[in-house]
Amino acid sequence: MKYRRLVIFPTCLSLLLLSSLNANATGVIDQLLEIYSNQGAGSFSAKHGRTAWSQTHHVKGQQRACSSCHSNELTKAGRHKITGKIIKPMASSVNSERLTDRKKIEKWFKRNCKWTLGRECTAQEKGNYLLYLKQF
Amino acid sequence: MSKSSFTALLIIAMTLFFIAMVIADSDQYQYKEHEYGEHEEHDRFARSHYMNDVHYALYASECGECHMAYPPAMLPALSWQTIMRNLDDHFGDNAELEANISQPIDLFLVTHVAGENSGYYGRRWWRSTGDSRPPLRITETNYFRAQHHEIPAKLAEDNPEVGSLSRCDACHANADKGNFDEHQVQIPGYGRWDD
Repeated sequence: MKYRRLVIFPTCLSLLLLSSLNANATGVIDQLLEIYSNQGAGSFSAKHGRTAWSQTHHVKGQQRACSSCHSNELTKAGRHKITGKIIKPMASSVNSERLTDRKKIEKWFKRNCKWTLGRECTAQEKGNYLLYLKQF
Repeated sequence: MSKSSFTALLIIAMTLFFIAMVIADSDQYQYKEHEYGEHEEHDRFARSHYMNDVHYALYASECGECHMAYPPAMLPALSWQTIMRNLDDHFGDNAELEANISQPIDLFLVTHVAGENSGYYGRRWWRSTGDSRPPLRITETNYFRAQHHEIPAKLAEDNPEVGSLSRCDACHANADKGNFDEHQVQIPGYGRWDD
């Protein structure tokens, strides 16, 4: 093609720009799932994520679950067990900011898995949670 | 003026003076709240410098996600240091932060802690500690307890809309702007708090 170089550069540039705009929940979740796969996780299961979400763990003399603060109804707001602060819904369909920031997701996985399970979540567990949450 | 009417006038004046003294004295807290012209400056925290600090936004977003971002001057340096070193067990919760986030927050807190030079409230919070080991909870500091000791439990801890004295913003609507003026307090379910 005569103007090959002239076409390729703007095409690449627009593709690059478009990919950076894809900061919605689905895009970010997919990125993390790929990272978790590379860390050794097997295929992810939304069903396992659902079970794990409401599973209670006995930690420091308390019964704890994700749903303790985040509620079992993901389109509804949750509430911090101690401070009473309202936690916006986990569902990205009603909360457009939810699950759009990778660093934020990893930060809260670290804190909340440690609090709820008494340990960090494995890549497999995190992936299962995300695949479950992606449905909402 | 006759002698008897002068005497009557004197007695009335003295009575009024006595009544005025009783009223003025009836609202004294241990820390002489009204001593420094309290009523002229209701938003001392709002005018303090911590909100202008370049790291304030980071502090407010990271340390205000689960509870109100408390003004640093409510605790002395030792308390803040202990809190920041034990974020994995933060009053029963896990509030761990990456080092690149916790370090600027450490610096921010140390700059604005309770002390002789940290403004109206900071000074009082600092002085109220005395020689005792400062508590980790703002609600257990001497100054806080002096300011809230008249509030019955049914308005605060036992009030379902409040739940805890740690939830400043439940009754102090402008707490996020650093305003804790007692005359602007609205207790949920009860209305204005009048001493």
